[in-house]
Amino acid sequence: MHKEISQEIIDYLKLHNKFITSEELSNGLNVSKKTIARHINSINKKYSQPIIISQRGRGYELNYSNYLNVANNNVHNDSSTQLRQENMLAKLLFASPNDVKIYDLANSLYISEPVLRNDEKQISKRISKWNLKLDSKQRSVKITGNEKDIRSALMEVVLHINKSTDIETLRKNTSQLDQKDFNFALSQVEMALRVLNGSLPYPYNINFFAHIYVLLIRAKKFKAMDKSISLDTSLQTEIKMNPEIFSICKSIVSNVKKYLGFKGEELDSEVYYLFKYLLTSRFNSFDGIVLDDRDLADQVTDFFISKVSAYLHCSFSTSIKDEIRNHVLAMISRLKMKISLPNALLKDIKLEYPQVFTATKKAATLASQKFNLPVISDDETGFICLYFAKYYEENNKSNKKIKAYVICTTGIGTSGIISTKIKNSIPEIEIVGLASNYDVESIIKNEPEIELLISTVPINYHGKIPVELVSAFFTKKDEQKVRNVVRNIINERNFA
Amino acid sequence: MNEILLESYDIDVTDQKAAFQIIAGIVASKMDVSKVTVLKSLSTREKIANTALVKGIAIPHVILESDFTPWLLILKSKTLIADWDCLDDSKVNTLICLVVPKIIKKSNKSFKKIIQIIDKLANDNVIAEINKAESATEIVQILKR
Repeated sequence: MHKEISQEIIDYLKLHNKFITSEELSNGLNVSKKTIARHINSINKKYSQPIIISQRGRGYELNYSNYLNVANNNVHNDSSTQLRQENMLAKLLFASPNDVKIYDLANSLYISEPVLRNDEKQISKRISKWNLKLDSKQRSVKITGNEKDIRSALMEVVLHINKSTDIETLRKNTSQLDQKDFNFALSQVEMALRVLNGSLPYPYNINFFAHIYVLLIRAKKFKAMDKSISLDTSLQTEIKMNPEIFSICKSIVSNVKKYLGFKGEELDSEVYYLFKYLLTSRFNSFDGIVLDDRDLADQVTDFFISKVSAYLHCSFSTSIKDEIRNHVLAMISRLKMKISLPNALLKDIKLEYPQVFTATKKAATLASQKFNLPVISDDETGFICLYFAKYYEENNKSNKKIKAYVICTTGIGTSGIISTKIKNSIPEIEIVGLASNYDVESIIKNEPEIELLISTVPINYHGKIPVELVSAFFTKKDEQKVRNVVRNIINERNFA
Repeated sequence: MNEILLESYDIDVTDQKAAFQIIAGIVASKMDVSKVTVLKSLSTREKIANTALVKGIAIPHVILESDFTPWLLILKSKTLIADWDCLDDSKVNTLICLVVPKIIKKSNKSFKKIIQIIDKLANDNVIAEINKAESATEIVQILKR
């Protein structure tokens, strides 16, 4: 009898997941308030960590984390099928993508294999909403799916995050022992908001926090995760477009590593998960302005654009101003508040865009003098450089002429005629030279920048460079043909 | 430097084969090469792709193995060459025959002149003028300008 009431109390609290007064418990379970108090006392005494919290005036609440830990070790006390399945699900989620041995599961949960197989069916149903699958083998079972979905499932299963959760509720649901982790995760969220001079609208703040928190628990227990994410090319493009956010993610992960005392590279791909998360969380609204520097940002942006344009001999369209200004504004706040944001891409930026970086750096030095700003570091210069680099490349891509060779049998006959005609009619083409079809191979070998071959005779070449066969007089029809190829080449460039 | 750059002849032929025969005869007489070799070169090039341009003008090629300064042979036929069509469906009657070595020394002065002359053919006005010309020497004058 004693056992059953204890379990009923736990189940009741579990079901309601909030503070329940002893009166309500007493009514709900049809036992006296005294009996309830006695049972709760004995439940909490039984375990090293209290699993039921009592608060004067509010009643009782189940400390879910502690409860799960306890349930892990003392499953025979837990007759609730639902709870057992939840426990099993958490285990599997934490273990994914690794498998869990059936033997271990059955032993730790004190159940027979047939029961376990039945639980699997229920779990399988439950996780389908996250696109996760239960992969059941003879001796082992595991959850498969992508990392992002696993995280989402963990957030809900372990942290019970739903639409009405706020940070304080979360804190209450976190056991004393985990408070340290909780505070650490919270401090990272606050750091990110401060550095990016932004605010995260609800519920993204909660999710971002939960993301870091889950990262923390998962990293503590299991170090294996899908690393392929770092190779995702679309993500690489996003990184270039949002270097500050990527850098923040890198800082957070490196803080997590410090916090956990990890030295290896196991957690490095976490940067990408975090980044992907922040990207989708509307973080681009730089609206949490601390200092009102909008006008200053405007002037600094104009200054940067005019200087960098002059150094690079490249006129940037005014449309880039709006984009750069937001980042300049965030930069000014960081400078004034002396917050440094290490640029995770700095090395790549310097390597990939040396000219744009030098130009931006010169402009940055002048800007800090002119506007009385603290020294703009290479890290900050790098962020701004990347926005210029993006447009600089686009500009140059479309301006660059297509290098073409014109081929005929002699290299002076029909090729001479049509090359003059091409020069006059298609300005996008730069004719690098004329050649005879005997020389095609050696020309391609010696001049790797050739993008197009235009020939008046069929040529024996089967490489990657497009070959356009035209008539000896380059008629309107030929012109149209070559224009089409030119358009394709330009499209491909812009796509690359 | 007293090298031939432009030779001109007025002819009267009605088919491509006859025109090639005449070209072969002239080239063989001017250079150390057999008529058969010239004929073979002309027809080989023509088989690869038609050298006819527009408004009755064609630029057949004689490509030879030996090393010499490229030159042009201009022929104007009184009648149209019935089996040789231009890109605009006109019949060929003006031949600007290119005589070149297989390996061309691009630094050669005459080579640059040849290129300049050929470039003129890219100009529609020049083409129209050549088309109006009565004789081969007239064409030479147009090209030399």
